Amino acid sequence: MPLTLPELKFGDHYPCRASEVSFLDIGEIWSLIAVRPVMNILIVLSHYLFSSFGLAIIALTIVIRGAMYPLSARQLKSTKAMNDMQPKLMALQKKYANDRQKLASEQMRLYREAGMNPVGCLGPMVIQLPIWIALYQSIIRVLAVAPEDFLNLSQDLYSWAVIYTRLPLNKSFLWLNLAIPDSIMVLPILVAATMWVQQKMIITPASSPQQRQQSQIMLWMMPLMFGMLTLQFPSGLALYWIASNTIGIIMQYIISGWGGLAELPYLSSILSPKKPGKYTSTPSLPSPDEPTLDEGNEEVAKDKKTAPAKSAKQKQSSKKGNPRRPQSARRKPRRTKNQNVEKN
Amino acid sequence: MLLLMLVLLVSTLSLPGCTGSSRSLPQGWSGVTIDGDTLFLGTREGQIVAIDATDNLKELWTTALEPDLGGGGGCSFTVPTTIAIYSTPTVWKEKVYITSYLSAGGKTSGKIYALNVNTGTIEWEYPGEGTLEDAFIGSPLIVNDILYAGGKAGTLYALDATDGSKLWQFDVGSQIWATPAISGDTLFIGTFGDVLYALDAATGLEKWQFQTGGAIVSQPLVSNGMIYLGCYSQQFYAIDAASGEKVWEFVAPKGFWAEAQVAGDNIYIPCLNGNIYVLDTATGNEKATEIKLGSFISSTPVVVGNELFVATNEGRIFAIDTTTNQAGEIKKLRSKEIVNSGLIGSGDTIYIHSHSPETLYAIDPSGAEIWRPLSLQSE
Repeated sequence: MPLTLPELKFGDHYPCRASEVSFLDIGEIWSLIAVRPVMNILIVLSHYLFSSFGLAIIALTIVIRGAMYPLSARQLKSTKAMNDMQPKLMALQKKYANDRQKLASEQMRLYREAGMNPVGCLGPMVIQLPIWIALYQSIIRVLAVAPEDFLNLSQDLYSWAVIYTRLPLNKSFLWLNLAIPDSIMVLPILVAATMWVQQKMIITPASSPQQRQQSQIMLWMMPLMFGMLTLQFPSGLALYWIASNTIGIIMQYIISGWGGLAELPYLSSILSPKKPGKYTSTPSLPSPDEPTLDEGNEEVAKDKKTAPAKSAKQKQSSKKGNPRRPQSARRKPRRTKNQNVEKN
Repeated sequence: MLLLMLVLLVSTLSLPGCTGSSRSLPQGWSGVTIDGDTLFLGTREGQIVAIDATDNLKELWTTALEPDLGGGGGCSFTVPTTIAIYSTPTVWKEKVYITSYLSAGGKTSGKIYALNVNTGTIEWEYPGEGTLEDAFIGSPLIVNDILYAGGKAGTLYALDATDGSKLWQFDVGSQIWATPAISGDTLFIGTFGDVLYALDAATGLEKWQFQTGGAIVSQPLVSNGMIYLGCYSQQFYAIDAASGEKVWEFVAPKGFWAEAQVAGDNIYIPCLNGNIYVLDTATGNEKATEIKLGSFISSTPVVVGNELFVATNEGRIFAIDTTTNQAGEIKKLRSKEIVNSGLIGSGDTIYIHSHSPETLYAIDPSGAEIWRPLSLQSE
């Protein structure tokens, strides 16, 4: 007797609330457009980079930071411009300490004159943030720490044969197992250190004690926080942070130099060496071709009549000495009383 | 501005937890074993449970597999250990055997246990003290009083099933997730190094090895002198069990996770793209258009009578008539309930161990519940 399958019927299930459905959909859409492409690219990169997932993380971080360079540069320039305007802003705050409305309008006028938008640095940061989130989530998913993760990973993979031949990924990189936290604490220290350097380079001169306090919090709290988080997260993620921070430091240097880092006493001589000046060189003796004393004096007198008036600086430098004509050569020798009488 | 950056960064780190998927904590997907009228399964709380299949799924006993932290006195910093059970219990001569998956601080380890089927008392465990570097995902296989189990650190163990003493071990150099299979005196084991090994079951000596295209997760299916094996990398192979030579190969858009099932001359292969491929066992030719079930399949199907029952990951249960290859959905579990462990059949009853929430179902071929579902989650 042919088997007749029963009509479709559903077992007990709880209907989803509308809010649950929409949130899941957003997660799926985000995964589809952002996370999955990055994941699959990471796996393909590891195939071409000596089967090293660590190198793939670094390479993709470089590519993404490079692609975002225009935005990052804009953000850094905007920050630098804000730094440069700090003295003027501080002066305004002093001047209009008791009139907040006037202070606000004067500040806006200053921004307008400088062609600046005080929240201009926010736009690039907001655009970069989804990319960071996608990269962060991709690394977590691809590392597939638990068996369930490896099973679910299959749903995020494209049908490219090269991807499947790479899995599971080689999680070893240098001394690290990229799927687990670094056991010898090197990565947490590197994450905190690179973040601190980056913060120090961009830190703005404080215009108030409150702002100074906030700056100090950001300078120390964020690196410490990320260093502590690195203790919990897989090493692959820490590797991404270190690579990203290092690239950020290089970008920062290109755009606006060492910034606050050059102010550190033990680094200032390395990062900002003094240029050699004319005051320190040894004056040379006049050559035979140079004019004699009398001739030189006549020339000097002529020069004095025709030459433009010297600035105070120039006068000061001429008093100190012209390396071409030593001071002794320019002065007339003093005549004694006897010499004067004999002449007469 | 700086505080805003801090808020955005914290939200960055918390956002992965808001997308609805829990990752990185091993939870387990143990299947169900039947011995007479008793069901045995491992739970997500690291317990092994014995259930009376004839009395409304009443619990007979529960034994918790405690992680052994290795002892030692004095001050010590202990990292919380998660214990998960991925393997399906195996019953042999009044004992039920199971393996564990321990996770602490990102490092994994495991143990092999033998319990009394009537009382749940642990009769022996391997190793006696401490744990192995190997965390176990595949199930133990017992034949001729020898227990075989492969671990994540790449070692296949052969133990005396009566007392747990080690007979031999074989190191494969890559992770072992699959359950071994045996045919005659040859043991077959697949590895994450893309290799299927054939070993002498008594001595562990290698007979041959077969290089596949990707990681092997599922137990090889041995039928009529052939080994049928799917890989995570889209290839499905039929291999001669005696010589290790490839007979045919089938390539799908996605990889394979669950074990295939043979019914007559057909082999039904569940794929991670949610399709069941129906091939000829001898030639590998497609016998029918692939059967699309809508979501990926990680649960090994079961043949009951002339129907193949399969569960998709999202909790939909299908019955496929193996004579006509027509499929129909017979049951849908609750929302978000997932099925990773294999189905098992006994008579006209199909048992389903689902997760999130963890529940045991007993249904008949029409999908009707025979007993009220048993919740396995502690409140």
